[in-house]
Amino acid sequence: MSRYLQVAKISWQNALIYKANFIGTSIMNIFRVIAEAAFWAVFFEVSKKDSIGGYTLFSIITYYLLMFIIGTFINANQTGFSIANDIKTGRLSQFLVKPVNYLGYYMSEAISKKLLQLSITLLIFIPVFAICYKNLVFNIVPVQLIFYPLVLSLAFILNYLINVAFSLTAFFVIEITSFFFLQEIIFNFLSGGVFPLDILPKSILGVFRLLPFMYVTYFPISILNKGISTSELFYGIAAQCIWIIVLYIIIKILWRFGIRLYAGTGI
Amino acid sequence: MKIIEVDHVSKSFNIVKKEEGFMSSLKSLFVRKHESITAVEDISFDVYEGEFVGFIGPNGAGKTTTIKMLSGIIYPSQGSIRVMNFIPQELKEEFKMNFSVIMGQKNQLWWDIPAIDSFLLYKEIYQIPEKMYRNNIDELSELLQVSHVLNIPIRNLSLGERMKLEIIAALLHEPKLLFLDEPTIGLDVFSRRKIRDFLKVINKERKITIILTSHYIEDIKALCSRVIGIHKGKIIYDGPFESISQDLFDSKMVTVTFEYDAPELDLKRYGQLLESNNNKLAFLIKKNMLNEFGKEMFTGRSIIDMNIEDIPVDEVFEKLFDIKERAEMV
Repeated sequence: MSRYLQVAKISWQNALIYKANFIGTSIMNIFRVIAEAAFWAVFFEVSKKDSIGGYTLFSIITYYLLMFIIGTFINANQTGFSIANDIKTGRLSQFLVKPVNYLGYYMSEAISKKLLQLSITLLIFIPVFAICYKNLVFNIVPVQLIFYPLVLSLAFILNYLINVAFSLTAFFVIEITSFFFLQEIIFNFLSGGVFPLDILPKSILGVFRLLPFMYVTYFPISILNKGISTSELFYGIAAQCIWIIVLYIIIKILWRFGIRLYAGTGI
Repeated sequence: MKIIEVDHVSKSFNIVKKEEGFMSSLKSLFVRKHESITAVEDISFDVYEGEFVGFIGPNGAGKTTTIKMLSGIIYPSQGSIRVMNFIPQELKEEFKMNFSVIMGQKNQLWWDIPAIDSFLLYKEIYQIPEKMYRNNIDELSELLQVSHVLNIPIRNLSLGERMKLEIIAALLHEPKLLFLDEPTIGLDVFSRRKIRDFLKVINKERKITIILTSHYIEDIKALCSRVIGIHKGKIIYDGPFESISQDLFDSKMVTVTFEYDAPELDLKRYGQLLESNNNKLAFLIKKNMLNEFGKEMFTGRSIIDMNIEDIPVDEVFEKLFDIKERAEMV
């Protein structure tokens, strides 16, 4: 365990060198919230409706605020990119020859970076909350908050595994890195990072409920924002767990076949 | 005791072949030509504990592929390998605790932070006891004279300093076996000598078995008690360095540039002509003939430049291969 703690420390050190980068990302996110807010304000104004799919203008803005904060914590896209690059450039070799679990290594790196990012994001968003406090819409069932740390951790692990599974295809398709941009867009859409998924027709939402993606972003936000029933909460947690197991198995299989094809090129 | 056993090992890669040009790039999206390339073909050898073995051979001969198989990074296509009684590609933890690989053109230390911080991670990964860790850092950085750069971010260091730190990192956990793939590539003579002396010491005093590939013949010559020559994926020589071919190492490569076109020369008794190019001639000259050769060159001729150097390893190798091929033909 201590070795992964040290990995976490090292990546803190590395990350701190690029602190401006983090701050920049958070500031960019604030502007994105503003842009989304402006879009929906116009939308509500033109459509002359008070609510859409159960969202008012303010609850939808709250959704985006939460999305960016939770999103920074959960996002594991960078890890996926690093793994695919390791495979492509042969950097994976130096992990293979060391007594360290490769995915465990990246997991601890991701967690430590996420904690750093989260703290910077919170620092920047707290003033926003303070200013908009009155207009924000929360519908929380207090008891459900007990489960919230669990839901967030599972969401993080789930997202991590989705990204890892995708990136391991680099064993089979060399130029995978160019698909990352596309993957991010599709993933964002499916997970509820573009708009709240429940404004979609019920039938489509029904399909989404069977996929892993919405349990990464949409599900944790809806607990705070819209409020969900206890049975929905447990359904969501169960879905998170099942998908984590399924993805873990997929990753094992991809790894087992992929590593035999790995040529360690570039070294 | 045997530390490495390689038994009839082959490795082939499947690669995608593409013809030149844009249209064929488009075509390759749909139809791909795969080709199997044999990187290593039916090689067998054993290495004993404490040996210092040099792999030599031209680029693409299969040296790095062999090292990658020995360290478990890639799977052999055929044959069996045992290293310290482990099957390398299973990558057992205990196996990994006992060896290190250094690839000359790859950084393993973190680019943005000082080496000393990266070392801490190595300490945890390999679970090195505090005392052993301190002693090794002190001793190794003293030997390589890099104590003063331990606290400077890697990106601000010279290539030579970086390589020395990479070597220290690889040795912190006191491995029994060390693979070095072109550790001195691109380094100046001074750093190379330093690293050479260092490797000699750790092989002798720490009894570390070392497998080295290098492009510099002096490296191999100074260090390796045994040389394995690889060419086109096959082992063509395995034995002590001295008996590769005595006259090759008794010679120097001399390049002479004349002011005007090169004269016709009869130099049979000094050595042989390798190459002639307008006003530039390259010779292989026996060391004990260098003096006389020089005298002859400088008398009555106008010379702009004269360069005396060790024979490049590829050159040695080609000769070696020629000799072998010729022997086979006879």
